Amino acid sequence: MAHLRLVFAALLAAAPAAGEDFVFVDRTEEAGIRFHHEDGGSGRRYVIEIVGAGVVVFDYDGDGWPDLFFVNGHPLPGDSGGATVGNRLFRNRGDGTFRDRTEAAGLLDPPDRLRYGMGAVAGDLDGDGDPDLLVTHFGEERLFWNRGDGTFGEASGAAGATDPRWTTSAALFDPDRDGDLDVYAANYLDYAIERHRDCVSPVRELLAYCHPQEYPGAPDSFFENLGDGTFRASPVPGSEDGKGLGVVVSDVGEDGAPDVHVANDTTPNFLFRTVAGPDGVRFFEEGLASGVAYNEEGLPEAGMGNDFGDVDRDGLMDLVVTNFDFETNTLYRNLGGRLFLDATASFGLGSESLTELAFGCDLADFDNDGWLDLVVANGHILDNIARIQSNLTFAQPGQVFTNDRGRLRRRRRSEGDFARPRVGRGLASFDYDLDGDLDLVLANNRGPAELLENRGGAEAGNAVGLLLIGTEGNREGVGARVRLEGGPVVQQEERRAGASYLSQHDPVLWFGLGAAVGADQVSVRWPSGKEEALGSLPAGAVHVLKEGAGRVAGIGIGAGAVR
Amino acid sequence: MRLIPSLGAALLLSAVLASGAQDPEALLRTGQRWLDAGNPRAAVESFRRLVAAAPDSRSHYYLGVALLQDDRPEEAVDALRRAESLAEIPNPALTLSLGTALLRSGEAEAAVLVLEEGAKHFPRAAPILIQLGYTQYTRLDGISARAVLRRARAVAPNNAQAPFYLGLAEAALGALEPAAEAFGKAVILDPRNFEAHVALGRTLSQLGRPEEAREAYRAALAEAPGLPAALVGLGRLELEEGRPEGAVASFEAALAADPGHRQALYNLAAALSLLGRSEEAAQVRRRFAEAAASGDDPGRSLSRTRSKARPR
Repeated sequence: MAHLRLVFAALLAAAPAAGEDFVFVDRTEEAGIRFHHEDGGSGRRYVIEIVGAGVVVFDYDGDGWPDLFFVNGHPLPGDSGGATVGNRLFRNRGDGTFRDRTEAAGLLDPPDRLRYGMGAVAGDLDGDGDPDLLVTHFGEERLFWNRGDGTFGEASGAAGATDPRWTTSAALFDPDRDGDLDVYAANYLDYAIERHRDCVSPVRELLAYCHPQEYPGAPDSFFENLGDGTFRASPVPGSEDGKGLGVVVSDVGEDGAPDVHVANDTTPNFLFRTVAGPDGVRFFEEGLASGVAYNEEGLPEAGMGNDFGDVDRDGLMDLVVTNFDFETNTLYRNLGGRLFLDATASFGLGSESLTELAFGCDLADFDNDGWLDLVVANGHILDNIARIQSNLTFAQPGQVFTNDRGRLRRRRRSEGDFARPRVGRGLASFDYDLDGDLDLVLANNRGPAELLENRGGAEAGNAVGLLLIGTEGNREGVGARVRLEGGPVVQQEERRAGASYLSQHDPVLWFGLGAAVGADQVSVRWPSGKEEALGSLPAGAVHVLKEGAGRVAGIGIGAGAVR
Repeated sequence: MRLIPSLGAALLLSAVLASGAQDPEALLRTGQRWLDAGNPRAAVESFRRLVAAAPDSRSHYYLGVALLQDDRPEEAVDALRRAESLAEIPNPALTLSLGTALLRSGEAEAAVLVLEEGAKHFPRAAPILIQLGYTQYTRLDGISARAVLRRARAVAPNNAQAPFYLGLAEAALGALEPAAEAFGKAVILDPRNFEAHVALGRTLSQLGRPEEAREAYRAALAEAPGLPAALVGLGRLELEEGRPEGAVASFEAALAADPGHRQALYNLAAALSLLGRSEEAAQVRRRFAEAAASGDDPGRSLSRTRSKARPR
């Protein structure tokens, strides 16, 4: 029981100083994270090159400190470089630094096993109490079982959780409510190196990556966990025409059944309602009827990443989808009754997201005021875009939008080193130094990964983290809905596994509390359907909540957590 | 009603026959009359005879203009290039026509070269600057477009086209505040330009200024009653502000004018759903799906600038 090794150290938090600001500061070098994404490009412009890659935050060794797994590309035909370091696992040492443990953990691929990776997702797929790792590829998935001793072993044939299509993002959920985690895998294009075509930009006849309309879409996959260490793969009906890049799960219907949103590139986005039945899970595509398939113009956008979060704190999960340049990042307001409305303009997101090509994203509370902010990683797909469109660049700054009681505003002064141009793709948030605020990790395309420390977030407000352990449903409580009262506003969060873009955020649910020193009331609706009221919890800690047992452990966060 | 142009054509034809087919001045006047009468095809024939009778720069120029008006930009380019080669001195009208013809024939880069050259010779010729700015805008070169359209606005502060196209360029750069300011100037200079009112409304809406956006859409409707784009803009504001009944009325009015309006259909379905009128919403969604399948993107404005790489 790895989580029980956590030290009980709930600390009463001090009242924050009013008006404190926060800023992201690059700590990659100091933290010892040395990872360079290789796109394998040779100038031939295979479409694969521009998609990767993702990053996963998970505590693989159960020591309470969030670790990182980066996914890498691979040389493609014509790439004279020819070498790749492959995927990398970095263990959080708890002192503000990370150590590359790829080889020690058994995740270092021999050259003949290296493949072109896209993203990954982590979760306790075999129910043994530690998170396993599913890596998506241009081609078949790979599944790594966590042995519980700090090492992984690869499942032969991914234990059936695989198909040969080009998978991008994946998410774990339990739509059949049998207590184990299944997998939704978004597939992108029906593309093969052998069927590559040279494409040119219509403006200046420059060699460019083909528009996705040049290739058919590929149906998404559902890997049903059979509970015996194997999976049954099947295509998701209704997803045939999709070109999926981002996947995120939420119970938007408030009925206990998970719904799946897929951000499709240039085709209408999907929202699948799931229904568990005796013959397994049935998927019903309701993107159009629910109002999330198109933007307010009735047009499909080039969806990349996605995330759910209650932006206006009305108790309903809103949805953000990141899109291509000259499309906004689109924010859909959840109106209840499975209806959404593109409310990008009234949320304040329209004018600031037009010229960026956006990928990874997170709706999370970075200033601990109880309201969800938005961070977005940007970067173009064309390294010659400036020659095609003079006001655009290949590397683009990341953006921070803070939430002023339901309206988002760009806060440049908080961007700090996040504002440095990069070819952004994967993004995940986590409190890597357990200092009481959410930091960022970025997985950039053909560039170095970055760790950005949030400085000032903890001083701006108190916070509480919640780590869930399910007993009747899946072991990590994926799909649980937590409601927290106390602090500036009533908050609801969901435990998800897979979001942003090819990535996964920290499994710890994060609640900013402002000046409040704790939550007055915390209640959990577990994926099993059981609802528990847990009473009050002090700020300044990550509390471990176990289904049926309440709070069982905690680890202190705040000043002094990192030595 | 159809007799009137026929009568005009007959009179013109009589004039041609009476004037003597080879008299250049008569051919010129006849061609110009055909253009004035809205019959560029007939004008082309007159100007072809003019070119045969007097193969100089002026004749080729008029032929080019007629071909351009007859929507034959490639042939217009040939005629105007010939006119240019025969011209003794640069001619701003010729430069403008050639630049326009090149843009319409898909040669935007060549159009920019011609117009840039023209702008050097005629730095205060606002129409050339405006056409150059617009051409740069269509080439996704928003920064250059912005610069040249600002020049156009400076040399011709009362020209309503300059701020309108400047607004488009600013919006394409994602600079919505300056775009709103430019569209605002455009509608002050030309209150009858309903497209500028709609563009202003859309921009203000994106900026989160709904009351001003509503005023702009209403101004557009005052100039162009029943204009679907303005009605849809108003409907969207109603929808976002939680008044689906008003939104339904606006979207239905837009659809009365344009039954296949994709944005109106999409948002009408949402508004009907919010009102619990599920069956009607489902019907409208089916209509939307048909419109979407047609591939027509009437609402796409800014995103049309997306670079779509195609196979060689």
